[in-house]
Amino acid sequence: MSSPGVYIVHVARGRHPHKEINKALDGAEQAGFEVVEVRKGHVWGRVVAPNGQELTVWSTPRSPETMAKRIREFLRRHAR
Amino acid sequence: MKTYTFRLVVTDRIDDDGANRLFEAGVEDGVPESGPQGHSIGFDRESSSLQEAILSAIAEVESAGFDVLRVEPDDVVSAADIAERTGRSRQSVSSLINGTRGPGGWPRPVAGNVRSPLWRWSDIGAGSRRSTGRRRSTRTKQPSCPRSMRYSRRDRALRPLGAQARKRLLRQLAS
Repeated sequence: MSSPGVYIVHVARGRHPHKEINKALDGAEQAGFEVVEVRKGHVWGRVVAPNGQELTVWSTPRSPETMAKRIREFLRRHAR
Repeated sequence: MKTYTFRLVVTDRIDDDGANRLFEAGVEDGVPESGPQGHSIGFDRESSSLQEAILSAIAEVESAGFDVLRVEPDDVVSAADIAERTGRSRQSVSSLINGTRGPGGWPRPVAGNVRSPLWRWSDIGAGSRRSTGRRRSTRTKQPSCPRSMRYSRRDRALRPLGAQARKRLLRQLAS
C-alpha cells in the first residue's frame, strides 16, 4: 500500500475489535478526549478526559454494549 | 437475574497492571476509572440481589489488592443519562426538566454547567421511597417527576442504600 519514500508513522490508534466500542471511542476523540491504545493483557486502552481522569477500556468486556455505554457516560460526566 | 449498577470507590490509583489484576479477579463487568477525580470501578453486574452483586464485587476488588472506600449508587446523571435510564426520549426528558410537561418542580442540578447540567438520580426519584416504610414523611413531599419515571423494580439498585440495607451490608462485611 505504501509507495516508496513514504513513511507510515503511527499517528492514529488502532480499531477496537468491537464495533460499538470503537464508535464510542470515535465519539470520545470528537469530544476532545484522548484515546490511548495500550494492549496490555486485558486492557485494550484508555480514554483520557481533558481533566486528566482516565477510563480503562477492556479488550473483551463481559458486555461490549455496556462498555460502550460506560464510555459514553464517561464523556458526559467529564465533558469540558 | 437483574443487572445492578453501582460504583466501588477505592483508595489507590488503578494502573494497567491493577486493571489486569481486577479483570483476572472477575471484574469483567466493571470499568475502572482513575485520576484527579478519584479512583473507582463502575459495575453493571447481573445478580440475584443487589447485596449479592455488591458483596461479590467487593470481594473481587479486594482480592486484586485494592481497598474499597465506599459503595456509591451511580448517582450523578445528565439529561442523556436520565433518558437512557428511563427509556424516555431526550426531548421528553428536557420538557420535564423545563417544566412544560409533568408536575414541575424538577430538582436543581448539583453539578455540571449551564450547557450540560447534572442531577442527582436520587433527587429525581425522590417521590418513590415507598418501600422504606417512611411513608408519612415522604408522602408530604411533592413528587418531582411523573409516576412513570419513578424507580421501576429494575432501577431500585440505583437508589442509595436505605438505612436497613446499609446496616445489613455492614454487618455482613464485618463478619
